[in-house]
Amino acid sequence: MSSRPSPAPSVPPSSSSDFDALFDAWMPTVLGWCRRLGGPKVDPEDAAHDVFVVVMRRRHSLRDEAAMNAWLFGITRRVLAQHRRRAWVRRWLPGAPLDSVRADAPDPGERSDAQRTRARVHEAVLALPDRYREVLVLCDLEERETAEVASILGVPFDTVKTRRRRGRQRLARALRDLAPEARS
Amino acid sequence: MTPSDPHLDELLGDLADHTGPDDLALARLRRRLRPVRSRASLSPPRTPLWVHGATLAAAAAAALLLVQFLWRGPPGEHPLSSTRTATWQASPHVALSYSGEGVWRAGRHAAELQWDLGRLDVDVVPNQGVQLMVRTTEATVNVVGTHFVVERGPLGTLVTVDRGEVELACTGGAWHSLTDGHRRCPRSPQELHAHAVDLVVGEADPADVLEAVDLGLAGAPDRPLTYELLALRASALAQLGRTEELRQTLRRYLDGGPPMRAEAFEAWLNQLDADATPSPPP
Repeated sequence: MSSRPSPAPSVPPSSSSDFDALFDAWMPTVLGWCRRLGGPKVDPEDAAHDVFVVVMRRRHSLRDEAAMNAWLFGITRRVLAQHRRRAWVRRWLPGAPLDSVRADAPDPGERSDAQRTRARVHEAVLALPDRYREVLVLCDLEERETAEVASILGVPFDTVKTRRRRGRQRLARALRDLAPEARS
Repeated sequence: MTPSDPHLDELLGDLADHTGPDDLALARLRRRLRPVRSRASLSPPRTPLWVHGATLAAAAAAALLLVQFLWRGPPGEHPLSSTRTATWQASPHVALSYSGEGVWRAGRHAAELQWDLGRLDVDVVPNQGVQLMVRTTEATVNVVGTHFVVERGPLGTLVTVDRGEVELACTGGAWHSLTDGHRRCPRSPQELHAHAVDLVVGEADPADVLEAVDLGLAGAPDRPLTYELLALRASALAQLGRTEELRQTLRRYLDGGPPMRAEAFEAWLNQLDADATPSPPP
């Protein structure tokens, strides 16, 4: 797995000249969160853009620089929730498409087996309740330490471990048919 | 303890590899954020804490003022009707004593008393910010802080000030300050004429008839009503034995009055001129 972001700057930028440093350090992380946590109705790039707009507007309110990870994750979580709500509202507006399909998404018929398997896994991860999905993404996809995940989510260490265990159990059950023994 | 599942780890690893950020997406985002970045460079410095404190204090003061403003209570109506003298404390600074009919209307900022008939004593504590207006058909009294009486009878509204000061405006007239004494706002000439006729029919004291007629004439009635009032005046003066005034009234009537009574009044005037003693009216 190679999705772990590079170390973040310890001090949030205070001028536009530092924007690039902020972008380089944190945008990959934010975009990854948006892709893995957003769900099918959310455009991850739009969401990541909105997260950064909030970050730039409110960066002065961040007092504890060590809490940048948690602060950023909180913003991302709220922005994703907003986008999901908007997507839900758009369904009822006249003229809105019934379902949002990304233009660059491959035709399902042309997908390879690996792509289909990946899509199944992603759907299964997105189908998990928020509390399990967040822990799985941070621990298993981004390979963060349990203590760091506890700090980002603002929950106790043991809670992270419990959620991770239950999330993996649920995911394994959901993907039972993909297991090697099931295939054979 | 997290259950170990190599196959699940493999699936999640593959997902992580293919859902991570890619350079193309990052480049697109960097371009999209460029205009926002230039605006963000002008973001203001952190607001000092005392500014928040001052804002909170101002908001609290505004809320307090608003509550005080609204706490004066909703507008209300209170009918006043009594054949005997009754008293009522309309507000902490306004006491009423009345026999007659009217309506007290209290608004959020001012009170108004519509007085229809009878006597009304109003006692207002001065310098308490009381805004009260007493209205009758003929008069409007703006209370400054005083004790005064409003009497509305057949002849009109009589305002008497015992203490303090009121501002009084008869209907259609200008405001006058009234400190001591009294001032009357008469009813309309039509109403006074009708009242005088009622008095004559009821064989009332001719002095009362004369008072009503004179008030009616002072109200600048139109020509037909003027001559009707003059005829009533002549009748009342004859009964009172006031010959000289009777002569003047008859002459005034004959100066352009309608021919219906002119002949009789002329004969009456000639007779008065002939002998000094007045005779009964024709």
